[in-house]
Amino acid sequence: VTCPSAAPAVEKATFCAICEAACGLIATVVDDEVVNLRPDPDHPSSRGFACSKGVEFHTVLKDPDRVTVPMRRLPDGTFEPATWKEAFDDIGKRLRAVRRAHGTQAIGLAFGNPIAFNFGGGLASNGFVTALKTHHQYASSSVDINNYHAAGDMLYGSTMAYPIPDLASTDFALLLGTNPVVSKGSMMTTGRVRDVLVDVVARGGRVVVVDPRRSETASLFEHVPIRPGADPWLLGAMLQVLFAEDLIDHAAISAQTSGIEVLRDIAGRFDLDRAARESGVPVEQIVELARAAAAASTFAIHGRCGVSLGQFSTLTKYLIDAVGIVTGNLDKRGGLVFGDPMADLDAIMAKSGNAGRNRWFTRVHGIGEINHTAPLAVIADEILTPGEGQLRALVTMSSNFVASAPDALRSVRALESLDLMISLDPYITETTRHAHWVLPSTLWLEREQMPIFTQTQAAVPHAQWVRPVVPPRGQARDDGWILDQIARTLGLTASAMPGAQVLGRLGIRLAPHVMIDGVMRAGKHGDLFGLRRSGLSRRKLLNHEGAVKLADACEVGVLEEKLFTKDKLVHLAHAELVEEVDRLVALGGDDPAFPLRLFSIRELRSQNSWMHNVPRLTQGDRRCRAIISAQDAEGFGIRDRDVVRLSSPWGEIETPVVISDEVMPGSLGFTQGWGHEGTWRRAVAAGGANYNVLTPADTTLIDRPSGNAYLNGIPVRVDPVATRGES
Amino acid sequence: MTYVITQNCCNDASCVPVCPVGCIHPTPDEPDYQSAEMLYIDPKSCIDCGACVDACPVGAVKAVDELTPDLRQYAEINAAYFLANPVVHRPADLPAFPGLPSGRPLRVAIVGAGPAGFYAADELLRNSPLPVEISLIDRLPTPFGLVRAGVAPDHPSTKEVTGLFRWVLADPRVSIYFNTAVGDHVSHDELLEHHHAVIYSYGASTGKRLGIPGEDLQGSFSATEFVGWYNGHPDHAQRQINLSTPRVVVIGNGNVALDIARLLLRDPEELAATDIADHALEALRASEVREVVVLGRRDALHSAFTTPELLALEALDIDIHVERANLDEPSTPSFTQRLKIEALRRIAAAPKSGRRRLVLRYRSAPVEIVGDVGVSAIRIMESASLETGLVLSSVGYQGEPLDGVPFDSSTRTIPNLAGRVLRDGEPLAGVYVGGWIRRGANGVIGTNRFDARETVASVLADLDAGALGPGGGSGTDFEALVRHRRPATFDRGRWQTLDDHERQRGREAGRPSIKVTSTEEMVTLTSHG
Repeated sequence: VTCPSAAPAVEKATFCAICEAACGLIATVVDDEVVNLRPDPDHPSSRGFACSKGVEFHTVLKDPDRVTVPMRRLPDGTFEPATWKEAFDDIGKRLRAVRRAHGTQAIGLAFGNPIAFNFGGGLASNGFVTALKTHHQYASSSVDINNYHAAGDMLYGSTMAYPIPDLASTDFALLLGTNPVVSKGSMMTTGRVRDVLVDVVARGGRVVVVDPRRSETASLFEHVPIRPGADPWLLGAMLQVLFAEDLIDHAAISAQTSGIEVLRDIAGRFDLDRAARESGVPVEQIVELARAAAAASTFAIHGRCGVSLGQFSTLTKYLIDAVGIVTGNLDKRGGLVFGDPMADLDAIMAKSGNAGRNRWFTRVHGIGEINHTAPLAVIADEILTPGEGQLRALVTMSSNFVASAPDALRSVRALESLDLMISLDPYITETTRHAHWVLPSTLWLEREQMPIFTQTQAAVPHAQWVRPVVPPRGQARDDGWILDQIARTLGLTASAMPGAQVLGRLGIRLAPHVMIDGVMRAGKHGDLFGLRRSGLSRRKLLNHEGAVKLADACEVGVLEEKLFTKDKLVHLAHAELVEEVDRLVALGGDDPAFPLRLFSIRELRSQNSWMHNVPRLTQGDRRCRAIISAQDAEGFGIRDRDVVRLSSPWGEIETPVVISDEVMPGSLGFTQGWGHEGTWRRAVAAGGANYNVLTPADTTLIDRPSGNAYLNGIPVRVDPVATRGES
Repeated sequence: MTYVITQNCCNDASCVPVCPVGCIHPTPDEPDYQSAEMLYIDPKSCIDCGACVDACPVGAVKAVDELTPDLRQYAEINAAYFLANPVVHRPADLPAFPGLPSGRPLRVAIVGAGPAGFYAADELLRNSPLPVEISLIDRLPTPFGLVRAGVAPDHPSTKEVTGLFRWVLADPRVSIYFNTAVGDHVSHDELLEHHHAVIYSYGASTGKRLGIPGEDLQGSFSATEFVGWYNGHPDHAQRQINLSTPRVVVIGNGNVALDIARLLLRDPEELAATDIADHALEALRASEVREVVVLGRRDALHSAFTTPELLALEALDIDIHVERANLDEPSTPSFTQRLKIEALRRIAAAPKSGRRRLVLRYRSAPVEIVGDVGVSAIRIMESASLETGLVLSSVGYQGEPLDGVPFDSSTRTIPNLAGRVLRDGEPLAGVYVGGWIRRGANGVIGTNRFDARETVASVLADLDAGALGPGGGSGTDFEALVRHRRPATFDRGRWQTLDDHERQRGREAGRPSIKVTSTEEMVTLTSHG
């Protein structure tokens, strides 16, 4: 690396906040600029690994297309720079007008996945909506993991409780709808996850990957192709076999659970032949998987996006955990274990009532909240449906939900109708281009960080708390500060802390780290405010270079302390889920007009759309594309790499299609995160089409218990598009 | 863990710009690149991100723990390169973002749909500041040039580069005119009239001659002819090749010579699952060949084959003999030289077990091919002659001239400066050249990416300077002209019909494809009605 000046290069340890692997990084800083990022060889979890995205993130900081000053939208749709004062003056005027006309309940906020890595932003978002007394808080978890929250609430007594697969010690890993070789894993933080999985096989174990596509992970291990959306059939049928052949662990079940008879009844609903028909997995294979799961001395089961974005995603997550539980693998080394966070915020959330669900329901469609958030599947209708509480002013924070939420065209129509839209984002995107104001947020590397989300699911428990590596670019400010300034224009403070509004009126605002530090210091790993010298505190961690390992692995035998149920049992009986099974079993066959099932394809050099303007990540032959089997291609009369019309009952797009045997007949894969608009030039130049033009925001089709969107397994068809050069 | 580049590296260096560390070398900017047999990953610096796996068009990059036994030695080879060539890693500089194209279209004709033509088209599609319209022309009904007709059928991963080329074919900005010969159906002047620029990339289609007596006897073929025969090239598929001789002699020891030897010696049943031409498979099944002698004029150090191709032979069920070779290392060997000599030593010392034989024979210049009507022997300088019924000369390819386009008959290339075609030393406005017909028949498939990059840079610089040809025209007019002159021209749809037919037949037989090998049949199969 060449130094741009004579200033000395300084190295600072930090960690990546792009994805849940949260790899340790070393930043080289010269003149307040990050000139290089490399993996931290001493990080206890990532152990010298980092991916091509993490080590390029400094280029996002200095991207010429990045928004670094407040930008005001002009009538012609272009943006001009403005000052913070101009921004807040105008925003205040407009917000007060909305409040006068409709009340603060007409103001809302939607945040995207980077907020999971941004404790200040996350706390401020919660504070903002609490101060406004509005129910309009929309979370990207509703197009991602709300099923985990709902199933966690049912099984373990808290939306924030979920076990993680202990891959490092398992003999048999069953992975459904997840491609950790590419994604690096989600709802589990297992450093070097590919190598950990390879090790399972190397020590004589099995890794089985259930996926409609022979993904990068499936190609390395045993692949079981499955029809998109049919996972509950496979899992239910496996349970059916486990019960029928009495392969269940009675001792574990009686010690750990209540309601086994309901699970047994549920399992009984899954006819093996029908399950095979629905899933495309032959009966013999279902039986083999069930027997192997029971016979393995340790068995770790895990499912992610592929199984979280179907119509029955809470049921699916429940069945996943149920297979682990009845085979006696919960709270067991090599099975499903519970995280050991540096600061047990989930416990605080659960006990304080911040975590939870169904305590209120959305104005339109009556969908139950989860952790005080409403699903993105209703946001457009909440904006477009008149009446008391109609959403009129929206703040988006790190959210590109035109790309990521269902029914993209409806999202656009809704955004265009808002009285006020404010976006906190580094880019003017297909979402933020509709905002009246785009305000420059700091990005990780420019703000203080601790692994607020991934700490709870790290396979190797560790602690890290880092200062900003460099000062913010331009006029960028922390999301928490911006939200608070917006709240101030209404005389409010963006905080949910008791007394915060009173203190705020006195000009006193608590920094967001205070609460987290307090929880950590008072907790298992904390310094007890000085009583335990070896314990953790924010100050101590800030002065430590790199991460601190807390244990080699998550403890087992901790079930009681990890459960939030009053009786300290895992609750298997839920009428809500029995209804879901009724609904699943009653479903008819596929619509012959849309006989294929769509699923999304994750790409190695992509994560959220902020990666899509990075020069190095856009090199080479990245392309938006659909993938179809030769059999289906022939049936639809389409040929390799043709541009086709891909349509669902809810929308249509055009895309090139590749014919490949990597996808199973009856399914169609499509890359997700394409078709960008706005002023981020490389992202726009990459072209392609938006996956979510095809997906429904119809709340009768989404997952009922969790409100999680229905993005995988939706019915589609492909048709040739007549173009030049066809003869 | 680390990732490792293996046997079928194509050198197109797609991996270099995506590597966030810059630990893949030699890069195209480094002096070693031109002579590199392959690229290498420094295991000490690789961060295991796998971006290179994603970018590699031929699947040559593998995780070290995925290496099959035949590829395992590449872990050591990758590491050894950096011991021999210490280098400071830094991420490759990236090209400036060209912006979104706008304005009136830039029309470019590309003559020759082989790798050089496809890479040129790809560079244009990615970098033109104007919306680009490309006419991609080839005299054959099928694209991919030597990837279809040259790469050995048992190197399927090398052919995966067509995955990239298929995207070019499918691009709506590219019009396809296959089965259309410049010179016969449309002239150079007409191309210039209908385009702002013409890029010639039609390769070097003829085998170089040995210039020794007996070269024209029956049973003496050029490698071009023999390779075209087993790959089903319409110009060569009908040749009668007699394999009822126990010994075949191949003159020249480049990679093509090793391909030929491998095809002749390996179990034909292993070829049955490839896209080898059916007639060749039948002939190989009936073959009486027990030995292939590959003659090198110079010593082992100057073997023209690349080490990865030599290493691939070790995995075959054959005996390999190394004769008349000096296997001493030179005093200051290059990395490549040492690798090659070490591999030859190991191979020479390996136990032999009376299987089919490959003889790598050095310091053996042929002086005469002997025979009455057909070949019966070959006479080699300073030694007795070898009896043989089949002599294949594999001493390189040469280009052929095209009407109206300057040609240098000494180098058998089109004279040029940075891809701008020269007439009497002066650039011809709007006329460019790329690939083998530009630089001579050297380099591997991926070398053409950088060759094309330079040519296209010249086109775009001339566009910027207003120095392109006076022509332009319209796609509609050009299409009408071609269809009028050559009703049997193949557009993309017609080629797809053929391609689908070949792949469908292949699928039924458990092969990648079963090739149609005559132009007439290609035309008939794809005719309407």
